[in-house]
Amino acid sequence: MSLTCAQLEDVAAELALGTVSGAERAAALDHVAGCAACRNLVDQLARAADSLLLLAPEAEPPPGFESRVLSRITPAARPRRERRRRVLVGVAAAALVAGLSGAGVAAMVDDDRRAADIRTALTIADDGRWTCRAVVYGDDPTWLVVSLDRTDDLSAAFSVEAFRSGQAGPVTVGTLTIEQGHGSLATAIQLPAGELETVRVLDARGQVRYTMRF
Amino acid sequence: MATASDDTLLASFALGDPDAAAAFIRRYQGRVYGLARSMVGDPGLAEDVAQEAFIRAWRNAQAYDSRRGSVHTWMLVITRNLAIDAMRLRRAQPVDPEVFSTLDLRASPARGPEASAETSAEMRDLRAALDDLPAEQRQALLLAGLCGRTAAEISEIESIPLGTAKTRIRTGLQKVRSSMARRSTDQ
Repeated sequence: MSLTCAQLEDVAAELALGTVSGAERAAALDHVAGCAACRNLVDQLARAADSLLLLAPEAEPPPGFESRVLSRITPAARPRRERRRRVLVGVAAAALVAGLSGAGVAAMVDDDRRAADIRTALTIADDGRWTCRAVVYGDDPTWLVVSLDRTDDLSAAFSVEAFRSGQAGPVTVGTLTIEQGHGSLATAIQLPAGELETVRVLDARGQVRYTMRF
Repeated sequence: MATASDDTLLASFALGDPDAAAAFIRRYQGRVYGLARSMVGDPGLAEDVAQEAFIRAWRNAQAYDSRRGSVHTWMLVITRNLAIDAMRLRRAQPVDPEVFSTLDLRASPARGPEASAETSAEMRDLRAALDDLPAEQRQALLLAGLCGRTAAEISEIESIPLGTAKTRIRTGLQKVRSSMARRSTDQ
């Protein structure tokens, strides 16, 4: 459904405040994408809406909050080299996510300038965010990092397997354990990075839940 | 690192500098968690939202555009969007909207050397703009903007027709926008 400018004006404030969802939001965004005047209106309202957030009362987070966030960003156990590479991959992956949408889309990042030897494959959800990410780099050893970032609070174990170019059967990689929707598996694999073709994540029943093709 | 500018701190945070990450979190955690708590109510869910906001900021730091607002506001926008998503997904019970009828509109400015001056001016203009609104428009706007309530929910809370709730939100935000633009031009 396409909106008129008058209809868009009616919903512009709620769009700017982030409280419109579903079909109404989709229709509004569709109109805004093709109408510079309405885009400008929503942009101006969004600035005012964003300012309102400054009024939110400050609150002390629970003890240990800072260390829990840090552990997700810069785990102390992670080797220095790997940590740096992960950041580079994060930047590249975020740029990719910003430009893609559609269920089941898998894609590859190959940023020659910043991370020539890093390959990333993603599974993208309907809303454009990546759900599962596989990053592979290096040859001696080859490191594979598989991350799952769900929007629910599922805690579960998944098995991860990899396929090498030209080989039919999978290679077992390891177990990816998530807590409250999030988790990563980082491990060395016995495959040259350039020959890794597909990574699959399977649930406890052996059903393939995520497939990432390089 | 604690005295670094917001932009510099964000850039260092994005590169994975542990010291910068700790300083960045300390600078914004009170505001981020406070907003999340205000919107979703449940402390556990609020922490999930706040944690995720920092992770998103770390991953998407290159998307920050200083022309659109301060790092402080950018962090709060990320938090708001995540909180709204969380409320939709988990059907969380947000805080009692009555809380916002007594909201202290003189909330303290953000921490950080440059954020303080920047957000202080913005806060001053915002407070003045809200003071000029009729009470019912201010209430509807704060319920939408700070509680993440939809027009339908505000209609129910305030016992008013949906159209009236939409009008209050729309008119309130338009007035705030115009008032802030005018005050900004006058300065």
